[in-house]
Amino acid sequence: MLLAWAHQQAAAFISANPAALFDAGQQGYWLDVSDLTTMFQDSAGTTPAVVGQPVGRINDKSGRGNHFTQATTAAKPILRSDGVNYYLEIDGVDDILLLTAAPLYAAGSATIIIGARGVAQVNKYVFAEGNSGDANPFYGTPSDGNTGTGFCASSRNNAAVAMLSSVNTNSANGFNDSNRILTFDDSGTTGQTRVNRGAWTSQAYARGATTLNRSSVGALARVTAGNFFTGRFYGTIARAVKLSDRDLMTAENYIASKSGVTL
Amino acid sequence: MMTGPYNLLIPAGVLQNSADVFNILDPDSGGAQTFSRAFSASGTAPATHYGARTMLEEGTVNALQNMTVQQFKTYVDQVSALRGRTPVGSITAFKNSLIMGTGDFWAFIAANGLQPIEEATAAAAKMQSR
Repeated sequence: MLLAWAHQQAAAFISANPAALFDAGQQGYWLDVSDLTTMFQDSAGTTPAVVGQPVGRINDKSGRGNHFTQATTAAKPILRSDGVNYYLEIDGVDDILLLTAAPLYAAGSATIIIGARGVAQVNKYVFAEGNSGDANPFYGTPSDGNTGTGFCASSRNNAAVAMLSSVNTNSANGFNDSNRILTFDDSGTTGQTRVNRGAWTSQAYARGATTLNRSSVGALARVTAGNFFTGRFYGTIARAVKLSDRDLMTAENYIASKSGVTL
Repeated sequence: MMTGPYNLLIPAGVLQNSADVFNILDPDSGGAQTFSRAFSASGTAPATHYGARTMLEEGTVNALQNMTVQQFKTYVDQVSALRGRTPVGSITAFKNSLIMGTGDFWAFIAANGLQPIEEATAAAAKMQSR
């Protein structure tokens, strides 16, 4: 109990500003739906986003220029407010935001923290890296393949062989219609997930040749988009190269503050 | 200002004509990809219909719901000129075939006797999770 108290006190004193996570030029992205200065209705970034209208561009705050866009109105999520925080309403039909780069898996390790909310849904991707010309490789964070309530990591190599399985890396209660902080942490040899800073669910794996060239929010983007997620997206911090425990806490605290979640 | 979202459904045979029309009607540059979800009665290929769930400009909603084919052609030509988009020849096939609705998208699809064709990606992902 003392250890838990100490952990809680330490967490309270850690900065909630994630800018330092990218200060040394680290690859990744920082998408903040609550920062309306980064959001636009059009993919070119000329018309500011407003509540109730589609979002065609969300600019990356990491400084790496990894802006996510969508030029087809039907595939744009809608900006909403829950009264405290802003979020993107992702329809589960055709909504997907895209980045024409995949900086995470290629780095050898990575950490992704997502603020989201969804009901149980089987194998739907909140975030993914894929290949625009190949249906085989991917690296992403879906709901699980059985009940659809768990938050998972899932990936395949170029030969379509599973590296991370959405059954074995499955943290409970990721999608239960409550706001959630979903964390995927990949050391390069072990992928692990947790929800709202709960217990980790881990899976050892062997990395394989996995050629990725695009990233997506709201679905799995490969040759064609699929596995569309239905729910809310509050933001994400994703960094190539695994975060330290302290930096992970900083990133989780920040996304939690933007998602109405108390960790 | 856009309203909606609206549920749209077209037969596969008018997919190209629909893409040409929405290349004009979408204020952003990617309108030709509007109808991206494939459907059939059995949920297996080949697709008999394509659908979308989308916000629409108020003028477009009025044009789709209330205009005659001729009026709609005039509207599309005006928007095309305004936006500098490639004009479309005939819009008759699209206008006469479009099924439009609101509310739950999947109920709309089911009410039209259709099921989504799961992408190869989805099937593959399910296989690997077993």
